[in-house]
Amino acid sequence: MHKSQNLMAGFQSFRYLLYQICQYRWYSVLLPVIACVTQILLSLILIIMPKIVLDAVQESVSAVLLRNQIIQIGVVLAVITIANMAVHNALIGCSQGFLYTTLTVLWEKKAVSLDYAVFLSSEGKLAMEKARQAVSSPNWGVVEFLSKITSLIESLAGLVVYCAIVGRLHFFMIAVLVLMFGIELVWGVYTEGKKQTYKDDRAAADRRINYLAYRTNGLQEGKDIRIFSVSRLLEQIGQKVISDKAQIEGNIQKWTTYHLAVTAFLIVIRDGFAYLILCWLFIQNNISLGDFTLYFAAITGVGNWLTKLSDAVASYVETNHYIVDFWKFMQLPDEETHKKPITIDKPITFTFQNVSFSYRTENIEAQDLKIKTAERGSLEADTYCIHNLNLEMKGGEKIAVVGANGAGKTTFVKLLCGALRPSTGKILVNGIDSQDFARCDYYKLFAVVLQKAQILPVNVADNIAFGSKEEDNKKRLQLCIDLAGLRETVEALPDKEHTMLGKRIVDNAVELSGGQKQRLFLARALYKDTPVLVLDEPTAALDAIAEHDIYQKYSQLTEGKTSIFVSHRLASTRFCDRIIFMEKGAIVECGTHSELMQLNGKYAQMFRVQSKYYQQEGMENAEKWENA
Amino acid sequence: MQKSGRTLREDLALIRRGLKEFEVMLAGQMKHIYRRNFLKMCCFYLPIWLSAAVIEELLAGKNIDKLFGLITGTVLITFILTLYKNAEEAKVAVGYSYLFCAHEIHLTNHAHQIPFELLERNSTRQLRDWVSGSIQTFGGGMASLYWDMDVLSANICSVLGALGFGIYSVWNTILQSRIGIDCGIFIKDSAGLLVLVGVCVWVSCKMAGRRFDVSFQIFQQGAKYQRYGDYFTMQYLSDENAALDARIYHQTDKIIEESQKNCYQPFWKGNQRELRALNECDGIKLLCSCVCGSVVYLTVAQQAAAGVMGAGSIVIFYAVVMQLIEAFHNAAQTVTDLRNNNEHLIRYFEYMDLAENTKEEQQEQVPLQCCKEITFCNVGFRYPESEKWVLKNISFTIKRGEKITIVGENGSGKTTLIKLLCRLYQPTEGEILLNGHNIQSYSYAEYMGYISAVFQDFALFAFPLAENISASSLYKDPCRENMLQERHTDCAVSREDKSDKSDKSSLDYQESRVWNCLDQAGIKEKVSQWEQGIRQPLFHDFDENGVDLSGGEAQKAAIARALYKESQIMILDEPTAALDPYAEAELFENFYRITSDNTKTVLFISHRMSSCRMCDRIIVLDKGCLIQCGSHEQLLEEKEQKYYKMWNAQAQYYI
Repeated sequence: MHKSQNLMAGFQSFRYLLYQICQYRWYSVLLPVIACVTQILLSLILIIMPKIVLDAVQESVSAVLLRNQIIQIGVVLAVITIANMAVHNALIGCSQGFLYTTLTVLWEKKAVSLDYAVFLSSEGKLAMEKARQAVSSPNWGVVEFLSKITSLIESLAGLVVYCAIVGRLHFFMIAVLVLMFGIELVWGVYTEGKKQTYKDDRAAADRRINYLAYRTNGLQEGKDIRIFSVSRLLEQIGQKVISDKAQIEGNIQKWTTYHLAVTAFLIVIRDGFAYLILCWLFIQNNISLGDFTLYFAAITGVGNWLTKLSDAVASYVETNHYIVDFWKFMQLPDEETHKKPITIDKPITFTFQNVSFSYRTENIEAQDLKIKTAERGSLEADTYCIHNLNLEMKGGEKIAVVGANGAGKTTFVKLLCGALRPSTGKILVNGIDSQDFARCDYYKLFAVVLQKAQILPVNVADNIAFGSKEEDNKKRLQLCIDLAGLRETVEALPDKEHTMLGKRIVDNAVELSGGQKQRLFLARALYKDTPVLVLDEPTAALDAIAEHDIYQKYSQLTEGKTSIFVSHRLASTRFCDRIIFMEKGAIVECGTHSELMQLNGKYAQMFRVQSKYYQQEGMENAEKWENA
Repeated sequence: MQKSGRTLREDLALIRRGLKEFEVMLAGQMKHIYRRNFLKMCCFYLPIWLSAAVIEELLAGKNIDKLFGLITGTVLITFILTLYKNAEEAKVAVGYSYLFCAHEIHLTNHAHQIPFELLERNSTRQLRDWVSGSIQTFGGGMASLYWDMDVLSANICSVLGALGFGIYSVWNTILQSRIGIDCGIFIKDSAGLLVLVGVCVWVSCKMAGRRFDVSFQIFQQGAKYQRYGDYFTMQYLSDENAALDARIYHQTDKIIEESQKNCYQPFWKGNQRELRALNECDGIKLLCSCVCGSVVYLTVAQQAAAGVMGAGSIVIFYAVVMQLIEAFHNAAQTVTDLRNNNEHLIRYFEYMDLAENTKEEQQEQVPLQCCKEITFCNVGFRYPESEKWVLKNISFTIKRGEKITIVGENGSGKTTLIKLLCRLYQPTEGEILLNGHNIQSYSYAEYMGYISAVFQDFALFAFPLAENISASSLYKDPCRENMLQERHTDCAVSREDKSDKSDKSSLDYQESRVWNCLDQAGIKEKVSQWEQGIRQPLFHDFDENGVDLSGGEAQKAAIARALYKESQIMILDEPTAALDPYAEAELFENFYRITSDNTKTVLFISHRMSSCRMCDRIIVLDKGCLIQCGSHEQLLEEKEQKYYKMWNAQAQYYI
């Protein structure tokens, strides 16, 4: 079952890629055929030329005739050689252009249009990473698609042509050659099987050595390495990891050597046999000297083409993995885009009706992606589940969502802004089911500031506003910069808001601190000017005074908007209309600050724990370090 | 011959050094390569010789026995040589499989030896980016050296083989033609042929050189483009949060536009240029080959027709001439590439030399005793590549056993202060004293035994937990050693004396100590639930069976690591930023317990003003200056000052 599925996948991905590359350049499918023709012609001329010359010498042809013949062949040879080179280079050029202008764009588009729940699942992440690797290099991966096809066609055609030549000599020769090839094939399959038994060990060794080589570069960990003297440990582990890898590779190579040994032995037999037969035929005057060289070259040629064919097949199978990886990624489900546009009037009311959510099979329907429940540790199985959530948020309300880490606050946010779909239940927007919206329309209602977001390597203004050039938007940009408290930072930059961000990625760029970045993202959210503003731990990186500043400005920032403020700093709840306390994916308490303190439940408990050290009364009770 | 300002001699010296360096990284690899190439050459020429010899014999004597002996003998020898060649090839393949990783590991090992201050500099980072980026993108540096030496040695073997073979054949011909045939024409034709071959070789070498110059120019920028593209694909689009942003803020088009403009289009244009150069260069080479080949056939065929040479010579001379042209062409390419590549090697050595030139000078070493006090004396600091003073005139004293919190706004210099104390940087002005001596006068290793720190951006490695925790076991805390020796000093030891267990094996000793630290950090229960306990690897990068740690758990592990070191001074930088209120309270509770004896000095840096309540003293920094210092109650009195403002800014919501 597995094998036929793989075959189907291989076939479909092949078709998909063929379609894409024809979209790119219509003639790209012709190139392999032309390349094949020139290649075969070239190799034919190269084995016919000596025959003609030798025959001419033997038959003592006139010098003039000989010269003319050689010049003619020489010219043809030159033309075909250069044509062959040009076509093969055109193949490479076409493949690389395809990679850079089409494949990478396809991947990037898909990465964003991919359904978010699928994106978060470990299978989705794996598929995405594999596809990324498949199109990451111009030297291997999907880019070799055309070249490998060409090799396959060439080998097949060469084999057929040369077999025809050898067949003219004697059919028996072909049979012998095929028999030898059969033996080699069987042995090759056996050794390959032996090599496969090392596959898992090799993957583990590769993972280890890649970790040491590429994930620890001594820079980020520099402080810890010096303070905890980890360098000696790292060096020891490095040596061991390298020698492990060398050992496994050595074992695998051993089997390759055995394979090649048998091949070499068969070549011995083939060559010796061929020589002896041809010598005997020549001595019997059945063939000329020229024929001798021709047939010997042809026999050797058949052997070579057979080897080339099996190499080409193996090579294509290897590239096929990358092609299938890419195709599988492209087949993952997208977010819903084909819906009618719906207009919504403010104020907007959100209603959660019995909403539950978890990363289970219903959310993901892609070919052979099996989702295991509780795929991560027991801690996080609860983190990503929402249980039977009911909530109504009126337009313009300021809501604080608080709770311990892992309570589901961020998942709630992702459900609200439509990145995740509820497993059961509905989210209604002014009475309309949120699923009736096309995703991109739905996203227009929200602006989110997440805890650990990343900058785009463009300038400050573009990070906030995506390069709007109209006058109106320029004013809006400046307003948002002021409102987010970013003015001081921007004024201190060399090019003000046209300074590039992304220090080690772009030239002349600066690195913003954590707090500055948080303000930048706040400015971006304000610029988008949406009915709903969601802030997820926006003050985590800010100091006390900056944090206070944000809280003071909060009503100004959120004027006219529905706003959600997620935090585990309970100070934030003072300026919100309502507080939602979440625990293990459910809302356990809901109300204003005084109501919840009155209730004396979980919220009150958490508040007391956090405020303990700020209380004046608590001073005498506050624990201080005792003297021993 | 100058190349980018370097003479041939300098280039050769660089290449020699590079090869020596390569020997350190992958010992013995080059030997296998040279052997393999030599054997390849033998395996190539033997069949040619055989075919020529057979043709000669067929035209001459048709002696079956001789033929049989010739054929079987040569074929068997070729077989044995092929086996040997394959064995060498296997060894080469093994080494090549981890070449790139070994290179990076080698670089990283050296990074550990570079002083931190130097490591953090932009210039060092750029250098490392360049070296690592160029080898990954197009093999610049060590990998090119390896490939080029491989190809060069193969082509030198080829040339030697061709020349040897050719000379042997010519000699044979001359021997035979002594039987009264005019060899004047022969010599004239051969000379003409040689001149033609020489001209073709020279032309194609010139083209080869030019083509590789173009390649090199193009690839210079490759690493930068690669970094740009990688940022989008690996960091931005693969990150959960950024991916959400990309959807909500409709960033698809922008991302595609930017990555095309700055990464993929430049790559593509570069590749197109390269292909054009390749077409030109290889085109000329092939044309030359065809011309030469035809001329060879012409001349040799005429010679053979005239009876001067045997028909078998046709085959030999054709092969020899083709090989010569190909080999010289490739050799010229390789030599150009080697010389161009030296630019990368220069940077490689620049990076490596950073570690060499800054080995610690053995100054007069003060022996480290029990720490009594730390004093900052007028310490000022400025980062090496910046004009801005991050710390100005800082002076204060910390006595043993004190608990201090350092507070201040973002950018006030708190973390920098700590880095100076950890001897990661040296003060630009003033000095830091330990027991009255400058901390620079203690040996680095001894001093580091004193300090334990959990930074805000701490790093845990994907190794087993126990290895992470106990990595510092190579350090000996001199104070503890002194205490163990002199039991009657005033250094009170409140924990049980571990020296009783010293006769047990070191592994047991470490294990119980690890569990102890995990317990103190508050993570013992979690770890005992793991399948492999403390031997469980962390994360999935190293071992598939690794566990994931949440933010809070990771922080506890880092704290356990710091505790394991049992050092005098503990530093915690923003320990509760990522923790929720309960975890935060738990951490502070634990810290009471752990450090309740008087021997440990603790420094907190925190935005959470609540941590100030637990400490003896608070140091307030503002824009690099120390503006207030005192206990919480004292500082609250100064109502005009920063501390009061910051305290109220947070506390008002809780009261």
